[in-house]
Amino acid sequence: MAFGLGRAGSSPPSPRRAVSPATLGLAFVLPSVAVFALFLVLPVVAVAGISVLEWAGFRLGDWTFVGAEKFEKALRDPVFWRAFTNTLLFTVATTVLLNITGFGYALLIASRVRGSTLAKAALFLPVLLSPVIVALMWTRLLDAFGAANQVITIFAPQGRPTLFLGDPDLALASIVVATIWQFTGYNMLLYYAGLQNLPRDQLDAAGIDGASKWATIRNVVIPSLYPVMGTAILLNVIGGLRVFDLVYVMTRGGPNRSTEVLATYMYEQAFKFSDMGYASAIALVIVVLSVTAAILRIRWGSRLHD
Amino acid sequence: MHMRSGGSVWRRSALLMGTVLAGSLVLAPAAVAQDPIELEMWSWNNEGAYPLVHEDAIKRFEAANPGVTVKRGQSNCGDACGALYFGYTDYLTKFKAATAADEPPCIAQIPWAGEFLDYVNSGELIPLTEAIKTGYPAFFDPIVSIVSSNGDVWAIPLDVNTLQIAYNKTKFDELDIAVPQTQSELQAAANTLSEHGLFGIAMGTKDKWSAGDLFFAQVAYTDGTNSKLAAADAGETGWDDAAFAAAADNVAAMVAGGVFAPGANSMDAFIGNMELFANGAAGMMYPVGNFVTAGVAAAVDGAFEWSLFPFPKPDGSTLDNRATGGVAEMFTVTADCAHPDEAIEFLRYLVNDEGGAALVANDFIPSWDFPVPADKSELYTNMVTAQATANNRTIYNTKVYAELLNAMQGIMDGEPGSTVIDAMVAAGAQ
Repeated sequence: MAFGLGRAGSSPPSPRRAVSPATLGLAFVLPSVAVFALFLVLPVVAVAGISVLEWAGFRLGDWTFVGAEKFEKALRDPVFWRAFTNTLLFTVATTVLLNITGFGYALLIASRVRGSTLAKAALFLPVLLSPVIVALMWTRLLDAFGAANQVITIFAPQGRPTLFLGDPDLALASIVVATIWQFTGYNMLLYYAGLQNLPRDQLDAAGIDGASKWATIRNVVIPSLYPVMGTAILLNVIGGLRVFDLVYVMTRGGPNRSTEVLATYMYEQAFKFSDMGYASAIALVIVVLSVTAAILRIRWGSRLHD
Repeated sequence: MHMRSGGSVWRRSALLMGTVLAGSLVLAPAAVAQDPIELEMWSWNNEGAYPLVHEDAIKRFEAANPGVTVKRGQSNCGDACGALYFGYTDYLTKFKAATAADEPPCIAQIPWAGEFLDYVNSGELIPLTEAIKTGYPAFFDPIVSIVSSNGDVWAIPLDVNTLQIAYNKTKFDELDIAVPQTQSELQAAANTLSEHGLFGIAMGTKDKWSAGDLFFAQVAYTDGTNSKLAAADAGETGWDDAAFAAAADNVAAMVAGGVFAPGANSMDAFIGNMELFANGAAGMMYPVGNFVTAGVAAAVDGAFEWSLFPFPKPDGSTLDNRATGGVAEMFTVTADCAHPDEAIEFLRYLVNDEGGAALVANDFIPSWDFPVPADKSELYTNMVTAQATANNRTIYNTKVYAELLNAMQGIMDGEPGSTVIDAMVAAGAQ
């Protein structure tokens, strides 16, 4: 009423009441749009702009336009491709494992077995921790003389410790394990919420038809959770593509680049080599991959609705 | 009447304005002189006794220069923060961001590696060539060359360091192991330690830099001229020089021989490896210099006697054993500093006689010839002696240096020495 949404036949509208619903809507949306533009669109545009410059990042006016040179450099740079491959491997591994474990834990908790409430809290607790703290903790657990090796020694006495973070073949997998430990609880919560909204009639019908538990999960539960699954996968993919903290703290991208990912390589280019143009080109690759994942998710979502 | 009255008011006003103006002109310099000046000083070295050395210089400087204070860390943080040091991992990121925003600290510690020259070449530092001619000590020539570029001096070197191998003297005596003089003797020492259930040299190469120093320790022997790193940096010789190849091969041979404790790539320097050394699991530890001796002493806590020896020379080398070394702490004055004269004056207090005495009292080695008191420890005398013949460990090309460190991690994992040369050559070609 006060904002011009009153019924017909009321007293003549004051100038204040003359504000149209469209204008009003815009006014409400404007702050969000402004924040979005300032903190998301503008930085992405700036990154795109810097990616065609030779700029050390010191003086704002001290740059040279180099066109697509930084992208060509990426194509020829073996470390970039190693970081790119590692990023994709990390993203695929964490996305698959987080969804399997998250869904599994959600099913377990939804079945309300004894201790499920405690398990729900315990599994979600790591999500609340800072990734840096988690990385430091796992570094200590996995180092050559850490708890993991001490436990292994009890069951299988060995001459040399297992170098989880020091062996190029194990280091990335070790970071994946730390990531799963931290974020499984997040996926569990998403799936658990989805499980609360399962179509009761379909579950009952499956029971009446004598479907086994596995058949019910495969044919009723999982299809019903597709929208949740799509969201979880998208969030995991984006999280995987931009991973930095766990890798940086646990291995610094080593040994010998074996865990280098796009974000750590971008950081090195920007702050160690002062090549802001190349760092921005790498950042743009991460943005493009993330946006592609989001588009695929939207298309998949549209197909589900159809 | 009215006119007179108006003229009187005007005259009185003019007189008052004139008085105020004259007064303000007289008082202005005094007011300006009383404006407090705060110099921001950034450093990452909060380990050991560096903060004590800094604090000592700050107190003396502030007492002699009323109205000028030196704030360690960001000045807008306020007194609540106290003396704030930034972790090395974040330091360059913060410094770069502050510099790009034209708000760098007046006085900034800077690493001696390639980042230093990035700042020089970008015009972000002021040259100190003229300043060091007055009131500064005569720094060691090789040290001046490290802080110089294009004929100018760009940083004040506070102290220098040597990198040597720390060893468990008690265990060496117990197992009748002599201090190794050659690489094969080092191998034999590691073998003896291994036979008694101990590891050889504990290293932490996860943060990479110490793996580079392992390479530099070999170059000290494979390049008897102590000039090829600088020549390669200047493009006068290649990164595939035989001296570098031999150095990398030496390290690879030692790794293959089991000289080092396993897991170097998963341990930070001075965390994991220091634990191995301090708890007696490893008989040696590398690299150790004056910057960390206090930390080692605290970790060992009197459990055993320990001392230092330079990395032994390769078999057949005719050179004397020698440590590697370089500048430990060096400070610059930034181009955006509003009070460069005061900043330069403060740096004088860091390296004057009292500054030198503070360094020596805290077991640091001044970057100029400074008398060593007779009561200094054997360890300190050892480091000062080693400093006299220490070889350069500087690569200014950041890409070559970065790839050296990465490839050295590969060597610690058993890759051949040639991978280091391939990596440096590829990075040098970029």
